[in-house]
Amino acid sequence: MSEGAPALALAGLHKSFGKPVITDLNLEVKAGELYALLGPNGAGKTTTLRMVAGLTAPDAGAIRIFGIDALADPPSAKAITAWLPDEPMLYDKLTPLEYLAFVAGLWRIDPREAAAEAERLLRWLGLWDERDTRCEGFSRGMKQKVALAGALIHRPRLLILDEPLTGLDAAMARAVKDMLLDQVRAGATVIVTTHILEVAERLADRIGILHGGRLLAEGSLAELRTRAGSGDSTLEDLFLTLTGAGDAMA
Amino acid sequence: MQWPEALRPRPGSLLWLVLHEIRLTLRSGRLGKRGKWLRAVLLLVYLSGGVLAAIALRGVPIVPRPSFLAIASAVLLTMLSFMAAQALITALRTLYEASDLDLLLSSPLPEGRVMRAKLLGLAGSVATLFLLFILPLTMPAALLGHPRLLAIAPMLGALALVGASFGLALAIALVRTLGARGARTAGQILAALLGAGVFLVSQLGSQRGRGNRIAGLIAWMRESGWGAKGWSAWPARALFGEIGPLVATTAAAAALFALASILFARHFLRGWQSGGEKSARAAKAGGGGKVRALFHASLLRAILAKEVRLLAREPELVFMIVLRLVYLAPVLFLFTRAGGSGAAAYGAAALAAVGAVAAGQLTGSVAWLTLSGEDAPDLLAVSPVDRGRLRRMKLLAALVIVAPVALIVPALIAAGDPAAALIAFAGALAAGWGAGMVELLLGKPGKRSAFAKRKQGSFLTSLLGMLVSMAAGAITGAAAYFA
Repeated sequence: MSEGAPALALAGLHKSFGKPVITDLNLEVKAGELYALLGPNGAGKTTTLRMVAGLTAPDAGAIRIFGIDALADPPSAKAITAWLPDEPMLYDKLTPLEYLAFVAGLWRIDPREAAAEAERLLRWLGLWDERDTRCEGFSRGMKQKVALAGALIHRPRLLILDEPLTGLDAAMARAVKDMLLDQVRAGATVIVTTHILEVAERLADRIGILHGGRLLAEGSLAELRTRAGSGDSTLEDLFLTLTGAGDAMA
Repeated sequence: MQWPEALRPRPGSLLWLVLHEIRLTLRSGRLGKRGKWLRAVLLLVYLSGGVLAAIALRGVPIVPRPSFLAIASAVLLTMLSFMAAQALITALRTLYEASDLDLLLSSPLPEGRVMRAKLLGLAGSVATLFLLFILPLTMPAALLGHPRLLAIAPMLGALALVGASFGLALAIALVRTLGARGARTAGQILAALLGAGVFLVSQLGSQRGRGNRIAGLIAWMRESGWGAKGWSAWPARALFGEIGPLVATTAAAAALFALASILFARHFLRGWQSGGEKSARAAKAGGGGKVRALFHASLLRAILAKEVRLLAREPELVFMIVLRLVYLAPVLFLFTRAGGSGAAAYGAAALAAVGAVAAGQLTGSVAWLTLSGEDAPDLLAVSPVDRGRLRRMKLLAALVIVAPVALIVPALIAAGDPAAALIAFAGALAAGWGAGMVELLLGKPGKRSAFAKRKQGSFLTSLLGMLVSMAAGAITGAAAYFA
């Protein structure tokens, strides 16, 4: 792990499922920033993040996480990364506490530390009273919370979240947004995809817009506005202008 | 299938709902194009067998003699036990898994009608399998000279109604006494006992020298006259097409089902309405406070704890795995009996062989769950543990889970023949390891919920696993015999 290296660096990434899904993707996320990856359906956001998480192998290109070559040394890259997909990776028959114990075992967290952290996370997420109840009876939002606790228990340096607000009520969505900011303040890097552009607009330090497997535009909201030539546009206006979705629907 | 306008049932009517249930049942085992062809060919072969039998029986009078009646009664009893078992499982599944009840009961249809349709659908699903298996074999004979055998079709329907009534009554009784979760677990066990009841009884009978399998039951029926004479022979006589018993039996079956529907429909609805709530409450794992004890530094312990917990909390999976051992019982009976009374070495060798096969089969099943039936593969894939190491650990977890069961046979042999016990232990270990390796190397990922259908996913893997177990069993048996 090299000091000063970007949290994530993608170079010349290609992926094809019969037809190209990601084409020559170059992207850099600085350490300690909250990066929002936006794009219309089928733009390749989830595929990109799955490649970063080590779940999908790219056809070509390089992935570096804090300087670690994620394709050559996956365990080291994964040890500092957390992946939270929109469909929680859970076991219905385990309780939240048992699930966290299993995840902590996978990430080799010191048992004493992990137990304390699990309690802290479950209390913070309002799940402590449900710690011994199996997940099968949980609502989608509660399952998402358990999965979130699983993603955080090993204190990742890079946190990747795919549509983290799906299925959450307003209060929980707010709590997750606050948590993302807390993570960044604590020094972690957060990459998030979302369809809720207001979230990206309010939270993200930088925004990348993916379209047709290519990075169409990237920068802070102000930079994107400058690029689009519209000083007071909302992110939604910019997004529709840049992806051409607004024209297509008009 | 489109019904003619005049015959089309009114939407929302009982018949309409029942037809909906039957359609769901028929579609539950949807096959691919190849599967449909295979099914058609098998049906044709099956039907050809029926036609050949019908031709052979053309000039032969089929008279309901007491010996035939005893056989028919034994067959009916066997089928009834299977039907009741199937109805019990289907009823519990409907109570706790049928998501369409949400939709049906949120509609403006009367609850009673919905429940009656569900119960009739339950009887229909129970009858379908037996109708498919039995009618192609028997109807050709009925049409080619033995018209009285046409009574088999309504008799199967009547039997399904009785089986469904028993199954439903058992399901309701279990739910009321044990609660949702307990009922599901106990229901699985009870269904296995019901299904295997006749077989086990016949085994006991055959142990007393009454021949084998269902022959034991038939022999008992002949001796006691039960099912061969008097009122107890009425269902069998109905099967042979005697009008009086046929009308009486089908009417009694319909009345029993109607009574069961009236008595249990409301309980069934209540059971369903409280199912989720009870499940959530009952699912409490208990023993909070010991947070620290759950967390382990060892990867193997973390994996083992997770796999053991998941397995322990899915009683239907445990039931299916244990059922595989029950199927091995006849082999054991066969071997131990063939050895004769004075051949202790033969008995120990047979036990060692069956123990090894059982260990292989068990490990193959558990290894499928730990290796292929992983519900959160992405979670493991994003973890920093090497995939190969993780899978080896999971295989090890499967072996550890099976070990206590695999030790039973060597322990049984140890008192009489310590050397054979050691060989039995080694054989069980080898069979388990071999079957597990087959799963490790060739297993295909699948959902745990598809455990019962895993062979369809990878026929070759299952076959190879079975061959490895049997080879290990044969070698173990031979080694124990010559030791």
